Amino acid sequence: MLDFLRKNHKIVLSILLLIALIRIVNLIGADKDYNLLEKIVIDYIFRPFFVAIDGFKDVIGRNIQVISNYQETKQNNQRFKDKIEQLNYQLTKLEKIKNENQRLRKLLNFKERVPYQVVGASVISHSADNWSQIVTINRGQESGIKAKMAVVAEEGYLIGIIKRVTAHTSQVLLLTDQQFVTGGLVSRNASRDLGVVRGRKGSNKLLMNNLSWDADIVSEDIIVTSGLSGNLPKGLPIGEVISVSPDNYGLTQEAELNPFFDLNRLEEVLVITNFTTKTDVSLPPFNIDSLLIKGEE
Amino acid sequence: MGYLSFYGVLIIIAVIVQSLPISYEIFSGIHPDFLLIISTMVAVNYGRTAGGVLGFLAGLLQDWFSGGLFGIHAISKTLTAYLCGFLRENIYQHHFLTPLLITLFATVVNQVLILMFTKLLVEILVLKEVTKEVIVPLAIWNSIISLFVYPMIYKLESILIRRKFW
Repeated sequence: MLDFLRKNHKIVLSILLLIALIRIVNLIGADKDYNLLEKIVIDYIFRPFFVAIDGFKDVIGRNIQVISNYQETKQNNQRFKDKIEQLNYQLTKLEKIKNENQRLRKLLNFKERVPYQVVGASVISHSADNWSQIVTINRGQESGIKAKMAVVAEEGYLIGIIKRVTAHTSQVLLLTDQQFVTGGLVSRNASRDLGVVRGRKGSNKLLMNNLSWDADIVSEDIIVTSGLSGNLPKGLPIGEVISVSPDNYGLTQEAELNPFFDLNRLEEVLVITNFTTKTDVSLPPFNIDSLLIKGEE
Repeated sequence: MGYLSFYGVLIIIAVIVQSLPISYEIFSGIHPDFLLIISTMVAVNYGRTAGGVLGFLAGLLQDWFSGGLFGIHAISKTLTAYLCGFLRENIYQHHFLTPLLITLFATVVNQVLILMFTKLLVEILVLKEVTKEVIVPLAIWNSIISLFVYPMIYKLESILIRRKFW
């Protein structure tokens, strides 16, 4: 027997393997569940190998895919980056348009509220030195603008007057320039005292002086244009009083004013080209709270 | 002619740049004086006459784009650049700190001149306030900017000379 096996061991081994294979195939095809031994063999001997091989295959497969698709992946990456940049740009642009829209709406509100003829303009440059407070706007004589016309910001806050004009541009002398002078009026029914409002160098505050010694003016009073010069309409808000002190040894009084608008943030303005009426625009219900908040900004 | 065109274009660019609202925002509420930097540079390199002439033209241009008394920048820049021209033979031009010190000196002189004219004619300014708010920050910004502007103009000049622009 042993001699037989020794002589034909290859055949015997092949038959045994065949039987084992048939058995395994039967096991796969059989409807019955695994017995305990089969479960142990499959779970603890084969499964780890299968899992490891499967994982290895996945890793290799993914890497091969990445390597083979590297160019495409790189292009996709660049495309997404471009897209993000484009979307960010559009977002910034939309934000800018939204802000501009809000500012223009406020300008339009003023335009509809008052019976003036106005021309809208954008600020294109600031003063080229540090000693004057002027801005240049993109509208000039061709739009009907002339020197000494009033320039207002949103909600009608006075920001300055036209100083020089060319065909397509105008220079606006801002309230805070030391050359700026205009008549001011205390916008309170019990007061209505007059004074002269002027800019001050090195400060964003305004000075109102030449007020009579007994003028009824207190902190938080609103100062508007007096309209006496004939160049500016009456009632354009200029600023809010922050302090009052005696001047000229008590013969007159002076007040420090806070302008309502941050003149360093000017972008769009309205130039009042014609005002035939003498209406005081400050007298209709003026939202003092909103002015104060604006001033504090 | 080439020099004239080159510096003509340069001062036009300078006045536009210093008038831009963004320039005001970048330099924390100060308009840096590029025109003065260029004028003093010309005065130091080409002499007081060239500096004075360029200072006058640059100042005149600045007067058009500024408020205040017309001609004040033309006079102050002419005098400042002419004064800087005297320094030409007494300084070592190739030291990297030269632009900074020259610009610092020129800015202070220029601003004091403006202040003198304004003080005499308008009498509103408060010396302490304007020194703190305008002169000191402007001198600092101008000096820092000059460290970049000087080499840039030298480079541009040498390129144009190589290409036989003049």
